[in-house]
Amino acid sequence: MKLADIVAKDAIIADLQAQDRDGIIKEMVEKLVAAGKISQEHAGDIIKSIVKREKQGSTGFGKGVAVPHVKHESIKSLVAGIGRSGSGIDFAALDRAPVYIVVLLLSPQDRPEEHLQAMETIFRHLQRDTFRKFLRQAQTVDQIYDLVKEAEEIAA
Amino acid sequence: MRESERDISDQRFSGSGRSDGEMPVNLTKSGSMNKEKDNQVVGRVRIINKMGLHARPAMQMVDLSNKFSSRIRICKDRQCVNAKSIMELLLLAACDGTELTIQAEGPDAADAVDALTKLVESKFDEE
Repeated sequence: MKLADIVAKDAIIADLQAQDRDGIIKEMVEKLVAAGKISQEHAGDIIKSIVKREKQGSTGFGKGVAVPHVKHESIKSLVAGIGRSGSGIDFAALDRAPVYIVVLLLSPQDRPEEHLQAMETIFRHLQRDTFRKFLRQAQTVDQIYDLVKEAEEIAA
Repeated sequence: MRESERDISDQRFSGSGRSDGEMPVNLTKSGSMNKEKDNQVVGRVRIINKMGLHARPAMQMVDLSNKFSSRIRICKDRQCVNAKSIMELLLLAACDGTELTIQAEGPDAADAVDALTKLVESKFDEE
């Protein structure tokens, strides 16, 4: 699975406006609605589910990145958005450091293997210092999406 | 977050064990444990929860591993990762049915392998 197979360009936000975790989650889910990836009627429930999941244990696993996610019955095919925050957000991360890059992943409820593959793909790239640095430096949606498309080559 | 959890949280993302190099292994049949030297233990376990080793179970594995001073590695086929690193564990993408090898090296290696095996076999309390 490639990163470009997962991330929807229309769901990328180069400059997140919200300043807290729940606000960021809402902003990113609404972007996925605007991109036509999820329906408006399920957005509220999806936001609630992701926030609930974060409260059980932060997906801010360190290094300035967080990957909030949920498996939801309304999701037919796996999709992710990327949000970048210039100022950094308190995501209750494990290393207690602010989060600058958020990858929000929505997975279908009945295909756990796909979800595991998507998480593997996301972390394979986010683990790399150069990839995180380039994402943080990106200023526009186009620049972020170029990184997503080139992720496999950057890895080589 | 409770204070006791905070104490170990720094190790959760970076881990404290090496993730390079191979430890010599001499596996016995599935599910059994084999004591290599005085301080090295290897065990095998199969993932049996439907959702596999996703973020929450992986975090349970990290938290449990951090209770032991031994260096612990989890292997899927030839891919071995540090059991004290959440990001590395997620790289295994271990789904239902995946067989994992647990390698521990240190003073509490046997207890670590035993505890981690029980955690996986408990289906991480998901089902």
